[in-house]
Parts: sequence; structure tokens; C-alpha cells
Amino acid sequence: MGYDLDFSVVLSGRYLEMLLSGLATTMLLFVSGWFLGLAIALVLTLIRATPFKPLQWLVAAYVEYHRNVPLLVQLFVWYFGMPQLLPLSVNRFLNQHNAELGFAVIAVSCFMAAYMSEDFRSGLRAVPKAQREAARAMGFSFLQTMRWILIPQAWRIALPALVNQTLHMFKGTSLAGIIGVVELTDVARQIEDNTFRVFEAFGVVTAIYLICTLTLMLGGAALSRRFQLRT
Amino acid sequence: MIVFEKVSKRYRSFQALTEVSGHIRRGEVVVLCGPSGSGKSTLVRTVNRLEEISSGRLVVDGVDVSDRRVNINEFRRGIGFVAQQFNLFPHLTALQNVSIGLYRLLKMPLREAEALAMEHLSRVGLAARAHRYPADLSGGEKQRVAIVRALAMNPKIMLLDEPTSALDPEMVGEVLNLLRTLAKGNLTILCVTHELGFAREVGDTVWFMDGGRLLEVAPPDRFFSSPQHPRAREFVAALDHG
Ligand SMILES: Nc1ncnc2c1ncn2[C@@H]1O[C@H](COP(=O)(O)OP(=O)(O)O)[C@@H](O)[C@H]1O
Ligand SMILES: [Mg+2]
Repeated sequence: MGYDLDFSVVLSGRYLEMLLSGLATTMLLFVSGWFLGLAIALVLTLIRATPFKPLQWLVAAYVEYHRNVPLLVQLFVWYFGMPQLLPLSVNRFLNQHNAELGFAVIAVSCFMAAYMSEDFRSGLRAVPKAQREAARAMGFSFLQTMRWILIPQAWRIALPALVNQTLHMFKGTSLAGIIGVVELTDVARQIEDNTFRVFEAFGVVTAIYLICTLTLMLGGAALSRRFQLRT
Repeated sequence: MIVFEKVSKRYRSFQALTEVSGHIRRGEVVVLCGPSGSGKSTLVRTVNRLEEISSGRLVVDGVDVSDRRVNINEFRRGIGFVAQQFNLFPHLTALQNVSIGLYRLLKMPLREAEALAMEHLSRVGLAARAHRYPADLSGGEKQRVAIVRALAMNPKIMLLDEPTSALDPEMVGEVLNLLRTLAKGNLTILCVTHELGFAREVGDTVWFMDGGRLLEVAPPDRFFSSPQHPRAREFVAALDHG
């Protein structure tokens, strides 16, 4: 149809550099968002496991907000909303230090944490009550029981679901381009803008995303097999 | 070692224990029996405060169990607890099930903890199974690991709640054998069981409960040959026919 595919333009020189740096940004956003998300999720899970009701409600509200509001809106709230609340000097500092990426990491990790903590929670609920009792009877404290007995079982049970959330989150990083983070999808748009090579630009990016997600999927499946909890 | 003074326990409107008074000496082996639902498990579980008592006084090794100031986690380390359903930790091997308490609670170095755990497992014939996960062990093996897990913490008291009743008949023997050796040592043991022969052989005293009350305390021979309380008589008669 009069369109000659030519990947050489996209895969060399300046555009190749842009692609690689976009991939690096996507990875940075993904990895830091994931670990931060995990940390927040663990705290949320612990809070929910205590018998203190008002705190539980607070966590429930957190989770429902992040699960029911589109990630894009959450990104906007952080990127456009947060600066309104901060003093000018702080904003100036942030803008000199890649505020877009910072807010994107926060938004993505908060989003991820909500889903992860739900997975942990159902994982915890799936651990028989007798396990907790056996640990407490041995002399494990509440936190020690969580740390050494319940969470190790809960995450094994939750692993398949966590792999799923991880994939969702990885794809979610592509939204960060809209608030100005120069990640992979944003790079594809820029290259397409400059070269009019729609299929090449998005073709290459699609391939990169697929390689990443398939790797995550296979790795996740291997982990799930390795750590499957047999009872 | 364990003193119950008018210990009562209620769940909302249900009275599970009513004014249980009794005294277990150091090194004594008490066999607790009674019909299902009579409060045996509840009584056993008050000793390590898995169940809080509603009234009365319970003193274990000089410690008032209801006292808010006792460090409950430290207190529980001195009391082994073995339940009917073993409750091994499924994410840990047999060896790790035994060593985790030594390592994480008693803060023994990992190597030392594992060596000690291995020693305990060997003593009950489980050395070859040490690196298996609970899912790969038979019921009898699981229960032996559970007993060893409790023993490894070097408790003064062992609480056993029907340790053989979830086992297939052919596995009961191996667990009873282990319990026999335990009973010969100087542990104080409170064991719920319906194994008559075992109770006769190793029990110093039988406690008989019904309806949440401790109705009879007697040496095993006398209890099984001439129970005094009418409810105990019915219970023993039913055992003899079953
Ligand atoms: N958590 C609980 N809430 C309400 N009732 C309970 C609870 N645990 C036990 N019970 C009741 O207490 C009574 C004694 O139970 P249990 O001590 O398990 O008896 P046993 O071990 O002799 O069979 C039973 O009628 C049981 O239904
Ligand atoms: Mg019972």
C-alpha cells in the first residue's frame, strides 16, 4: 500500500539512543515503583492484620481509591495537584530534579501497593488459623509470627496474583509519558512525530514491551512453580 | 507446677469451663479424658493462654497466667504445645520446622540450631526425612516432627491435645512410643487422649471432665477399673465396649 517498512532509521543513531534511554526510564520507573510499592503494601498489610478498626478503615479507603480511580487520574493528581500544596521553593527544587519522574514513581508505587496489599491480604486469609496459633504457642510474637510464619506462606499463595499485578503495573508505566516522563511509549511518539515512521516506531516499542512482559511472565511462572506451597 | 483455682471460661453465653480446680506436680503426667465437647481442649489451652480464663486463678510454674505484666511470648517458650492436627509450617522442611524456634526465638546461631534440630530428629528416627517438606511426610512422621519441634525448645511443660486421634491406626504406635519416652523424663505433661493402654501405662493421674467440670481425679488403674462419679462410670463403660 505504498508504505515501505524501513527499521534502519529507527534503529540507528539518535533514535536508537532515544529508544534505549526511554527503555532505561521505563525500567527505572518500573523497578523503583515496584519495590516502593512492595514496601508500602507490606505496611498496609500489617496494619490491616492488627485489630485496630479505624486504621483498617483508613487502609481500606486507600485501597479502594487506588483500585477505582484510573491510574492516569492518579498521575494527574500527583503531578498537578501536589505542587499546589507545596511551597514555591520546594516546587522549584523539584522541577530542577525531574519532578515528573518522581511523581510518576510515587503514583505508580501507590497504585501497585493497593493491589499488592489486597493480594497479600487474601493470601494471609488463605493461611489456616492454626498456623498462627502454632507459632504463637511456640512463643513467636505477633510481628515475628507475621514475618517468619504467615507472610512467607501468604506471598507464596499470592504469587500468581502478584505476577499478574506486576505485568499490569509494567504496562501502566506507559501512562507516565502524559505528564512528561520520557519513557518508552513517549519516545515512540516523539520518533513517530519526527520521522513519520508510525509502524517502525511503534513496532519496535511493541517488540520491546513484549520481550519484557514475556520475560516477566515466564519468570513469574518459574517462581510460582518453585515456591508453590504444598499442604 | 500447674495450679487451677476455680478456673472458669465462658464464650459469650456458653460456659466452657466451670470452676475447675486441680493441681499438677512437677514431673507428673496427667491424662485428661472425657466426652467430646467436655472442655478438654479449652482447659489445655488456658495453660499457655491461648484461651484467656474468665475467672479464677491459674498459676503455671509460679507465674499467674492472667497477669498482664508477664511476657507472654517468653512464658510460652517454656511450654510445648502439640495439637491434633500437627500444624507444621508447610513452607519449611522438617529440619527448619524444628530449628526455627531455636534460631529465631532462642537466638541460637543457625548452624547450632540446625545441628541440634538434626539431633532431635535423629533421636526419633527422622534423620532421613529432615530435608523433606511436611507435604511429603506421613501423618505419623508429621506428628513426630511436631512433638520434636516443641521438645527442641527445652520446655518444662508439654501440652498435648489428642496427639494421635488424627492419625491412621497403623501410625498411632510410632507416636505413642515417642510419647512414652517423653513421659519417662522429668517433663510435666498434660495430655488429652483416649488411648486407654497408653493412659494406664504412662499416666500418673487421670483427670476426667464432663460438661466443663473436672469431675474425677484418680490414678489410672483405679479410674479405669472403678470410676466413682456416675458420668465417669458411663464414660469408662462406653470405652470398654468401644
Ligand atoms: N471459640 C469458641 N467459641 C464458642 N464456643 C467454643 C469455642 N471453643 C470451644 N467452644 C465450645 O466449648 C465446648 C468445649 O470445647 P472443647 O474444649 O473443644 O471440648 P473437647 O476438647 O473436650 O472436645 C464445646 O461445646 C465447644 O463448642
Ligand atoms: Mg478437643
